[in-house]
Amino acid sequence: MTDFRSTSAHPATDALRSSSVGTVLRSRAETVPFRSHIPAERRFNVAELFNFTRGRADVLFSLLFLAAALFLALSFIGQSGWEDRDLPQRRLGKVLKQPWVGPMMALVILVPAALGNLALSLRRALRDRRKHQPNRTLYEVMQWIRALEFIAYFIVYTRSIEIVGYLFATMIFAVLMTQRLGYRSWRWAGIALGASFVSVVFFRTLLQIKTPVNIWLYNQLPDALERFMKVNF
Amino acid sequence: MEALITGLQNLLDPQVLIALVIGALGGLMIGAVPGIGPAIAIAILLPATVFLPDLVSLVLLLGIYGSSMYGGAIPAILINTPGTPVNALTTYDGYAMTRRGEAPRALALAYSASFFGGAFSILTALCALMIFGPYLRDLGALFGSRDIFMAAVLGMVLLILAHRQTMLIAALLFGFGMLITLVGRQSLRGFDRYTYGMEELASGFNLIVVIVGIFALSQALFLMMGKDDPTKEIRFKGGLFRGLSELRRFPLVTALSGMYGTVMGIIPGVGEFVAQFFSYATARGLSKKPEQFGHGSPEGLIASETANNAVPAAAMIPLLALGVPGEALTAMMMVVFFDAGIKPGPDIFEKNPDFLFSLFIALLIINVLVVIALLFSTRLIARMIFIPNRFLGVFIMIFAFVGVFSIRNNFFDCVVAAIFGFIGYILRRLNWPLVPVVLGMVLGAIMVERLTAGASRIKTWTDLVDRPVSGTLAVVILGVIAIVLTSMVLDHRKKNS
Repeated sequence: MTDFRSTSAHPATDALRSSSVGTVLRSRAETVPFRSHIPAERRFNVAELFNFTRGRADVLFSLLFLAAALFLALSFIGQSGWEDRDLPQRRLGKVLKQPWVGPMMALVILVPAALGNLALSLRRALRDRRKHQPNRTLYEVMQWIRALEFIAYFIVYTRSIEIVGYLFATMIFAVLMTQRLGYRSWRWAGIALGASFVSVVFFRTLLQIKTPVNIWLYNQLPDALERFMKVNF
Repeated sequence: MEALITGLQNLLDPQVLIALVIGALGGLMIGAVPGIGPAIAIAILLPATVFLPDLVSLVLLLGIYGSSMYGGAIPAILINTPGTPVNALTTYDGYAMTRRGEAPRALALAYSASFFGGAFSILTALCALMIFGPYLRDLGALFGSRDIFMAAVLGMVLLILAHRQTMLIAALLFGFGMLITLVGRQSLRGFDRYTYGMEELASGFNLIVVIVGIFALSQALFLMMGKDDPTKEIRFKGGLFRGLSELRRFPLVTALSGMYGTVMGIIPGVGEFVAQFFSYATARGLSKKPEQFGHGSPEGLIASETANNAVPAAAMIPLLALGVPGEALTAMMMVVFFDAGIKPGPDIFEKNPDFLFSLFIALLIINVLVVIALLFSTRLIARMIFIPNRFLGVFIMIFAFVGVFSIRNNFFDCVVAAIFGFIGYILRRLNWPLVPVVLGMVLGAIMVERLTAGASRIKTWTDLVDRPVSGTLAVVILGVIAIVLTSMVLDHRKKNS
């Protein structure tokens, strides 16, 4: 979906900050009705929600998707039960019960659509090339790779829960992540700690949602405390 | 009438009442924060619902679904940023009114219009249930496996065709979702499909894990990789009560928009956007001051907000009547039905009519609760707009873990969610739609299951469409495809000429 905030909120606050009415707002907020000073021409364009334009690296991703679809299609024989197929004449129902029917239906939709999509994507890319539009596939791929850093943090977080427990892992993760994202004041660390504690209490203590129970740290605690921690955190 | 009373009694359970309040207020706050949205909130809460009674779970999710659009109107009107995507059109007139210093009037109009839209579609559904309920009970007998299979095919066709500019992408993602749902051991013959010898895949991909990954984790990545918007606290003066009655000045626009929302909501795959555009265009056509549209027209604001809030209740109708979800949020609710052992579809009118009444009455109460809450707490909720995006991303990730792990106590599921989160992140960056993946999983599973269940009565292909309902649905499918293809050809010719 479109990133809504990037289209409007920057100019909104910039204008608010620089305008004289913004000063009035801050100083006499209780007496002056709110008037926003985001220029009207900055308004959100609803038509953008419906206009689809193929972005950077669309060709690459379409190609990867087609490769995946073809791989799944090639695996069909060995992975769907096709090898043990039974195709009796005049008994369609018996055929439809076999395990390969579902995957075949999915592949009949997936493979042609992936082919058609790549064709459209290529056509668009060639048109852009003729118009000498910049190709920023590498930039886009770097954005994908950069996201893997956060995926790695997520995996480390989930693994660390088995060592230090849900409560401590969540609090440590929240604080370190806020630091990593640039919120480097004590205030933000406090907010992260508080919010992570509240979320653990809500999900684990109140809703009793299952989290790992064989925790190394909890196992080192005295029996009563260990039980308490395992039940609540 | 008996079902109505039992339905009401069901709602008196303290757990249900708490879920009503939490859902309504939670949805309101989630809607007000640009960057989250109801789909992500529901994806995060979905695993928690496994541990809750079925009605409590559904009321909680309905609360979020039904109230998020109210909350989404607040940033749309105050800072020109829609809280949820469906509030985009609200910025046109709502924000223009704010620029004129009429923020309280715009907010009050949005709340009252949303309430009217919600109440209109809920009361329509309730009346339909009361009037047609006795007849609908016999509907179950008309719907066999083949009919439900065809209904699911219709859902698929409508979904793909609704993605007008991205039909091929929607189709390939639908096929991908369908294939994902078929991974694992087939119960009938015990064959392991697409597991590549991995024992962890024998039980298949859990739908909730995929949903959390593709909606919540991908959004967390999207937010954390993006930038925060510099923000400032906004305050406004003036009560909201006075503006509520202004809705009465525009009865025709309000009623028509409510009807558009209800009708469009019923059609799977269509939803809020189309309803809004139809009602906005109609309102402009009927208005004595069409030049004001887009520049702070109260009628424009009413048309947009009434139509989008009429959709949630209406969208429940195809889900409950045919077992066919039309978009991501109802697909997620379908998961709760599965967990509760309730099969949405024509049988529900016979087996659980009180449950249906409970759901719609709950939705009505949610609408009332939300308006009351908004009248007293809009200023407080408006502050939530300014929670930094990237900070939100961290907590979406934390919540995502709870959701994923709690389903099967399985670390492998966390890895699966991470993989789908990464795929979802790329889809978001490329502007590809996410919904077809989830609907591919839900509708794909229904299609295969029903086809297998009805297989013993199928000897030739024509047996698929020789029943009254399946035959009619097949004609509808062909008709819809013909209409869309014709309009595409005409559009193409018009463009070329």
